[in-house]
Amino acid sequence: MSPVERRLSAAAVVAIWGIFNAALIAILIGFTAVRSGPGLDIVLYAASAALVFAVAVAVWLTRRRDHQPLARGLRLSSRPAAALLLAVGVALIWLGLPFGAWLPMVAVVPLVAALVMEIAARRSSSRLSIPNRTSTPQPQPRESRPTSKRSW
Amino acid sequence: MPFQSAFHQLFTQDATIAAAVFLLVVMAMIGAFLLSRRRRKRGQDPSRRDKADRLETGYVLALAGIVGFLVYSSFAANAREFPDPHAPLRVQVTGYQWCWRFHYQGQPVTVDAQCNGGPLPTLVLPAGRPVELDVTSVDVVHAFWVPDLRFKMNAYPGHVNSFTLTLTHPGRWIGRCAQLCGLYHYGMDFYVQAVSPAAFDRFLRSHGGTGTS
Amino acid sequence: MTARTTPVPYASPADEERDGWPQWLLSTDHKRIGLLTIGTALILFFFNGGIALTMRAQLAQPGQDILSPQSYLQFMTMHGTGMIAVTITPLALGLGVYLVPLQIGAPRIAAPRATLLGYWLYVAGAIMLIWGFLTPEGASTGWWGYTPLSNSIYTQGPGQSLWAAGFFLAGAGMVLQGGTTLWTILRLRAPGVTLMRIPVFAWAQLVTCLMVFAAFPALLAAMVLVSVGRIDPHLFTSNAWNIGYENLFWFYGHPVVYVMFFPFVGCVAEALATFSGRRFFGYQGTVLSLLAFAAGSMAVWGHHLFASGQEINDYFSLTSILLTIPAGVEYFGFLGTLFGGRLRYTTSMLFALAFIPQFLVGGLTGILVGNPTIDYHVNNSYFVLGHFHYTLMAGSVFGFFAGFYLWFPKATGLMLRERLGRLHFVLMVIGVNIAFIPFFILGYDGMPRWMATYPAGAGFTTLSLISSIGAGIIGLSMMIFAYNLWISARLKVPAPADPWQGQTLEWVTSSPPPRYNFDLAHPVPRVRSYAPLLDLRENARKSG
Repeated sequence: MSPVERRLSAAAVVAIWGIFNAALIAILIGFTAVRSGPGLDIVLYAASAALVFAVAVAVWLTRRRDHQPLARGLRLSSRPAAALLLAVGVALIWLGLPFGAWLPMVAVVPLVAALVMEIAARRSSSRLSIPNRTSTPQPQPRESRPTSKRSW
Repeated sequence: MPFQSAFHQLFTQDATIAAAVFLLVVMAMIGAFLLSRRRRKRGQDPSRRDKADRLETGYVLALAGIVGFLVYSSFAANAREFPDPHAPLRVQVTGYQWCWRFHYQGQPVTVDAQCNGGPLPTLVLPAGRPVELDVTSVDVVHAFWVPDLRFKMNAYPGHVNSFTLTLTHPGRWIGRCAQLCGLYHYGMDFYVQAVSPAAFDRFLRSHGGTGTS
Repeated sequence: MTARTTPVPYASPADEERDGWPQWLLSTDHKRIGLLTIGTALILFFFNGGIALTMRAQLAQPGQDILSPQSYLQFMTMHGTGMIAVTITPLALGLGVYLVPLQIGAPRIAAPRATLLGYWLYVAGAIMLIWGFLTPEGASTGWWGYTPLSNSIYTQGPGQSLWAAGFFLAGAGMVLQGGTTLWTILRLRAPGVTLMRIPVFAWAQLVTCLMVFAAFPALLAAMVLVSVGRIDPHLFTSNAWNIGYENLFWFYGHPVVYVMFFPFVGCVAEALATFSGRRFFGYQGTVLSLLAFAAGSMAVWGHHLFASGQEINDYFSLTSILLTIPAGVEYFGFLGTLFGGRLRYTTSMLFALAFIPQFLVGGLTGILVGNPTIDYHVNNSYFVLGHFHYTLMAGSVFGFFAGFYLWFPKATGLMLRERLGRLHFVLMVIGVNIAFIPFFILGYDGMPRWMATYPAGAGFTTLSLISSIGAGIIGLSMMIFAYNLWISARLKVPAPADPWQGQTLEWVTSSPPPRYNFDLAHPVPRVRSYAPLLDLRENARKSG
């Protein structure tokens, strides 16, 4: 690998992008030196850059040493309907703005249902096992075989 | 008039550069098509080369030079547009849904009209003298735009935007609202009219003012 | 030399997702979510295009009554918000959801259910926007929603509230899809696929998703502010709130146009490389310039506020003009790829080639209006409309079609009709140029935006008519496109895994790909560069 390739980690890319933005913020501060106190534009931009650096930190914290991102196995996502219910719930909350506060109250139903589904999904997640990468891949018995009656 | 001349000088310069860049790129593409056709006729494979670092670096430096020139031009032109904002004659320009009102400061003279199919208000100003316009609104955001003068300024409620305008010769120019402000935004036109100082004096007196003496 | 296989899940028949609409609508397969997103956005493209055609019919002559002033404002608001929030942005991010895992050798996307949630929030947002459009006295403030015009004193009825809700939900959905795509590129690359070996399209998606994260929260905050204004409109009598809203809105409003640009630059790059028969030229410079361009585009939002009198115009002029440098590097890559290539003029390539000069018109006029002195005249006039319709319609949409014609066979396993594709292309080129060149002249001559009609003596009539004719030609071209989709679905000409001699990993796998993208029959090969299949072909020729 070239030197650039070796050094360019995922966290570094995000951090570099954050630094580009920080440089542009610094120039903005220079232009506003005559103003008293940070204006909204600096606060806005700086908050955004802080978010980017937070992402860089999150990426760095989740770095793996074994370079085997797939070896941890794949969780077969169950209960995808929780996503749909969550969307319905959030939409109902927002519908309270044009149509009145009773709609966000109705939203409780799909939101609670989504929460229940999510908790159930985390308790019973099935795993797909990965064949050993140096040998001929063989199908291995799964911990819990997905049933044909897949629940929503 | 400073807005017009600053605009025209900068627009002509930058549009010429832009046109030249466009032509260069189009010619480069035509060149690429011709080279490809030759490659195909000779049965040659596509080139394996995947970068040209020195050329690219030189190109970026050239771009930076052009950018520096353009930025300098932008700053210089912008600085020319805003001479000393304090002028003895001040007019308050108020946008409202959906017409304009002009009030001559220090005089009990206000011009208003109907717009939207009715008569349009005219902002009468003396030619050759700097005038400060204080632009504001009483409801939503509007924008005071005189296309022939190459200038506009937004009108905000609870805020005043001031700029100095010097109309060097008599004339009459249409003005339009340039910020969406509701249903009849499209009909919120007005006129700006520059007249001789004597005629301006007569105008003020005929509207109940004390003239410019 | 045997291809090294990476560990891929052994897909059993039981894992194959069944067809049927419940499985599609609740799928955690990024390919299906991506196709749902793109498919929904394409339907909305037709819808918002129809709205535009109605507007252009109204404006073809002065003083017409096809649309009342109120209707015109509602149509115009739906067109702008619709195209940006629920059409082009989802096309851009949906392409990433579909392609990124394939291009990096991953079996899935990160957080599939969050991606699915993103789709459903987007759909909810689109429904609310259309609902608000259909409400009498509905959303009518234009896509900016400036306060105090958007508060409940000046815009009454539920329509504007539905607009704020819809814009928020669609934006939130896109944040989720951008977030999972970003995490996928950063964390789920196959072994050997370093960041300097992912395709140009994947890099374009990476910087796009960074911008989504950095800028879209401002949209969400802006829509909350509008909502507050609809509940308590008296907040906005203070100027600080109004200019504050403008800053917040444009902090999102500028980067979003780059979110609607970079993925299509990626499409163009892939098409140019594939149909020039060589790897993309100047990869490292392109990567650096994408990062710089994306950062720069976060710093220019104040150029929308040049005429506000409340912004530091010189700074935003500097940052706007500075974007010339990374844009120039992108063009270096495009032209460098073409020079020395052996070009194949497929429909995808034609759209990619037209993108280059057409987007350039938009980009150059963008530099022009990045000068406050010029902008004081042309801001909020048809000149600016011309600028961004060139970048978005003659640019990004062309880039989208370059990608669509390139990857349609991969996604569906079917080939599209080439002749119809070329006809679509020719009509669209003619249409966009006839429609939008008049905009520059109209704006220069003093025609403001947001005009429901214009006076007969103003000198706008002829050019408006010409523009409307161009719009009609665009509509015709899109009918040809729709017909191509329909007839190709009926003819069912099968697509091979690699119909184009592609260079990147998605062309290794079948058309359409299996559930987990790569399987024993189509394993991820050794990846040595950003054009792994080209490397394999060149090595095979050397050794055989």
